[in-house]
Amino acid sequence: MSIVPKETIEVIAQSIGITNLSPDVLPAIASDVEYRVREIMQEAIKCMRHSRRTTLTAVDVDSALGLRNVEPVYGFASGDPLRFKRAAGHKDLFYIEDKDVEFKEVIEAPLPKAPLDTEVVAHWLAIEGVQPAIPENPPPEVLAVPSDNGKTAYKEDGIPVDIKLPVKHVLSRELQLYFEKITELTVSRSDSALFKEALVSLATDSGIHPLVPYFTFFVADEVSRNLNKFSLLFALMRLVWSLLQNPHIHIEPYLHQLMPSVMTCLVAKRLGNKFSDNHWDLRNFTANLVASICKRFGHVYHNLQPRVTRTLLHAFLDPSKALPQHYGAIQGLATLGPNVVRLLVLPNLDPYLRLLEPEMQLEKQKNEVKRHEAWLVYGALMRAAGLCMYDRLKTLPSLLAPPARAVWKSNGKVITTTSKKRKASMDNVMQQPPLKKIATESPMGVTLANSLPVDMPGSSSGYPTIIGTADSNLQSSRNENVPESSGRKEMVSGQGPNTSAALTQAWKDDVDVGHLLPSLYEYFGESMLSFIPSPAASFFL
Amino acid sequence: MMHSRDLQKLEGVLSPSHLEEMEFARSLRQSKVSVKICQYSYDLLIQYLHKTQSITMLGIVNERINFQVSPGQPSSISDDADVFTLVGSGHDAADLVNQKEIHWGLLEDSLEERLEKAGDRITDSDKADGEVKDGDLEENKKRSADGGKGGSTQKKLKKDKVVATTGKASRSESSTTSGAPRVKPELTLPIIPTEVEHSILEDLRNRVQLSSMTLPSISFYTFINTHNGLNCASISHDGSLVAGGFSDSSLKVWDMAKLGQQTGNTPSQGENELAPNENILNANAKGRSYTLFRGHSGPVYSTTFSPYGDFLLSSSSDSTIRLWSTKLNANLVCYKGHNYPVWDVQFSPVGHYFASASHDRTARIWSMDRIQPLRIMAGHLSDVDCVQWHANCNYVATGSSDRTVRLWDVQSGECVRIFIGHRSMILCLAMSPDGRYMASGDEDGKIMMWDLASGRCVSPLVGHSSCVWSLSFSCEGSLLASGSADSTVKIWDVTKSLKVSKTEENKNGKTNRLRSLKTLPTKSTPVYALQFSRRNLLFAAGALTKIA
Repeated sequence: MSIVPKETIEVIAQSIGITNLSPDVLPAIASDVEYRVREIMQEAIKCMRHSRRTTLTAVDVDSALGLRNVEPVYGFASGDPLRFKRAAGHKDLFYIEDKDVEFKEVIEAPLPKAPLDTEVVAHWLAIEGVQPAIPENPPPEVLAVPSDNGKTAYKEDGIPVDIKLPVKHVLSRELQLYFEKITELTVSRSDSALFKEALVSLATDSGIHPLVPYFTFFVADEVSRNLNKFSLLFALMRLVWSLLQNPHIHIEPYLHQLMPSVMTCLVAKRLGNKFSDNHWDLRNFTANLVASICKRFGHVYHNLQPRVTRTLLHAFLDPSKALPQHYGAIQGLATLGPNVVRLLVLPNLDPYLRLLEPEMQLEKQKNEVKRHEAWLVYGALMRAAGLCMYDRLKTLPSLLAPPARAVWKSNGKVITTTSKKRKASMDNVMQQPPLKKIATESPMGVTLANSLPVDMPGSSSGYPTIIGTADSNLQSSRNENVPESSGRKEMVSGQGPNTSAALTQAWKDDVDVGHLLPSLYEYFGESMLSFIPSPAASFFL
Repeated sequence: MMHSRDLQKLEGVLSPSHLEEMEFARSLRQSKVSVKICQYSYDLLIQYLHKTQSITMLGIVNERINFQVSPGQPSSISDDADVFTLVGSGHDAADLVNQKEIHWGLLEDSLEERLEKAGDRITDSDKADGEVKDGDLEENKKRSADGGKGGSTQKKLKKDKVVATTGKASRSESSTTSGAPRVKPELTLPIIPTEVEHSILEDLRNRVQLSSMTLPSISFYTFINTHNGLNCASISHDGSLVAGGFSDSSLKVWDMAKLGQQTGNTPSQGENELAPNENILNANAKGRSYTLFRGHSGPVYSTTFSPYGDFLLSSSSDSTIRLWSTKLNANLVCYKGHNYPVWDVQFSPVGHYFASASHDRTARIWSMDRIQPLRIMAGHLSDVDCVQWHANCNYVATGSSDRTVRLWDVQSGECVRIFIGHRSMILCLAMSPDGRYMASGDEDGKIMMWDLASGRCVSPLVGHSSCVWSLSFSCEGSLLASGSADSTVKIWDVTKSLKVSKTEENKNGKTNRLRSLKTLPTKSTPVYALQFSRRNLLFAAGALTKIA
């Protein structure tokens, strides 16, 4: 009747010392034993489930016995399922292998390695529903099998499972209205107070992220179509500015679409069609915008700033470009920081100024507008150079240290004087290293610089005179220097190698302010002095 | 086939005394079995029984079988799940219980509602002229947009709390996603600290809207070198903490933020870490990557994090529940009340209260500040294996080895629903965030979706080949994730399947399958725990097991 045979009961009874067991009792006990064993196994299965396992282990049986308040069977606990071996010659007889172990061996054996401690490792099982092919996930062929099963399972239902439809981007009605309102304001009423409100909203609202691609496209589209509408361009740039200010939106993916429009507003040939349009303001504004973008995303997109600077430098070094374009480029470079100015603008300052001079003179450039433009470019250059120098001076710690003062003072003076005298050779010296530098940056730079109407050897004498006569604003002291220059030529030539070595080093990283200041002073004269902090100024001048 | 488990149990009955002893046999003897039969077959049967004068047979049939005679042609009646399952007191009693009214609406003045309302106020004017066409998806989109708008008016929220009651009536009418009226909490709810509230609001605003088109990202935490000792795992709501309960009575907690720093691989980057640097007392000094909590004297069967991640509860085979602080890394309270191993413990959605399920066939409700249980829910005929809170905290659902799921009123302690349909032990439960549906997973790998109001099974989800260890609804309730012993995570489409099954039911009276959206296999790692973060990132955990 029961699986447990009577004989087993008899044997067990004898083993615990009961010999006089009546044969009638045996079947009753056998059936009850079976019932109890089944019961315990069912409890053990519960314990197994609650241990989140699908294999029954001895531990589960032990805990099931514990639930029944029965003493567990000791000696079989194991974290792993037991391995049974089939007894030779029997079909249904299994046993657990119990090897004889030499006691001595166990004692003498080296300590086993401690089991590894439990750890948790994290990985992506799926990214937006798609399983990435990484070692932590099962290989694709394994992946394919269940999905196939899934397909067949659902084919009968007629429901396609694995078809991935393109995600439809649904814009809520509110967002659509919002977008329409903003674009309408930008296009038609950018001078109203409402537009200012709109900008504030753009800069603070956290819910407009779905609209970012639309705004990006809107800006790009409008800029390309309306280069002659100054007010619209300005409004668009302000819109971009506001979007960049918004901390809640994630604008990085759209930067590559935005940048061309922004750069256009910085270095375009014509922005607006009326003379009254103050496109200089727009360029200034856009320059700041570019700088803020570079500052914010430059570390994420490593090629962002190089690309921007390259574009600006091309515009700056191309003499065929219009002056407003140069202005935009200079402003853009200036806002990118003094280092950019030092590395890219200052080396080209001399040839560029030479190009600019004729445009600024009343006699050479009759067109009032052009002359005005030239002066503005000159101002921008001066500001850029000045700020760069200010920055250098500021970072010079020893300037403020009183003990070093005397030494510096004398040094400064010496250098100032020598460099002033060196002015003639400056042309030669200055052009070589920086141009090489540019050559590495962009091959264009070399050709551009070479195409400048500069004859290097001959310029030494011609250059100062042009400045002297050209510029009433420039310092009068410049004129004093002019006659001297030829007289000191021999001396300068002797110093040539020295100074050029010094200069190359200076351009490399730490510009010696003593060199920088006088050279700038030569280009811009006393107006440069306003950029020098007063204590420093006292050392040099 | 369907009754193989039952037959296995009955096989063991060898003497009359066993019948008395065995719960299952007793319940079989006490109740009648319903058999659906068509008129013709019924007539044939009766005729036969009378003709052959088999009085004993007739007696048994009369005593044991409850015929449900249906008119018309004989047809293969679908194996309607609840025909076969038996409850102690029978079906009629269960039906009677299911007549009781339940209020499954969400809590009034919940954070999410407040967020919605803040958004509502601003876009009210917009809404007025836009037509109000509210598909589920659209409503969700709108809500997200509203949520976004709410961001700028975070300060307003404060005021909203005060004025909340005034605008409530109108709001609950216009809200279409939560079809039921909001309900008042029956328990005194704990106060949420403002900074926590803010972080939750922030999470809600940044929530990814999931649907059948946009599936969630899943971050998987694999336990390695567990030596088959891991009994359970749980993940805090923000995914920053992972706890594992082991059969060696230990409880280990990993701070994923720190782990990320070590391996240079932070899975929870976007997530908001509530307490990343608080664990100063961490035992890291000893070279361990986790914090070890010792206190239990038996295998730990369940762990649960409080909603804000500052407390941890663990239940053990030593019949106690222990409360741990993740900030102090210390045991705070030991709750003794159950007489047998505590299989499951779950924090309520608001924290402070928790429910436990035990081998002693009861579920109990506790509050953190009392060492005695507040309520004892008795009624299951076998072990209570799992427990889950309703979203509004007024109900608790329990799943049992007697193959039923019951829903209990927390305030009265009464059983208000009995869900019959599973054919094996119920291992996990999940409540939909809108409070309307419940999902339960069993030992066979079957998942059933229940409508709480009617007590009926909406649709069974078939697909897993082994035990379903864990279920989790996404935050807006559109997706259900299930983790199983067959080493897969499955994502199910809830909204779609609900609609389909309703129309299908009208057509051919068959319960339809819920639609499985995606099956994500793991590398021989059964999935022990699933947790959607408030931002709808899905966290899963499991122990890597060697293939034998």
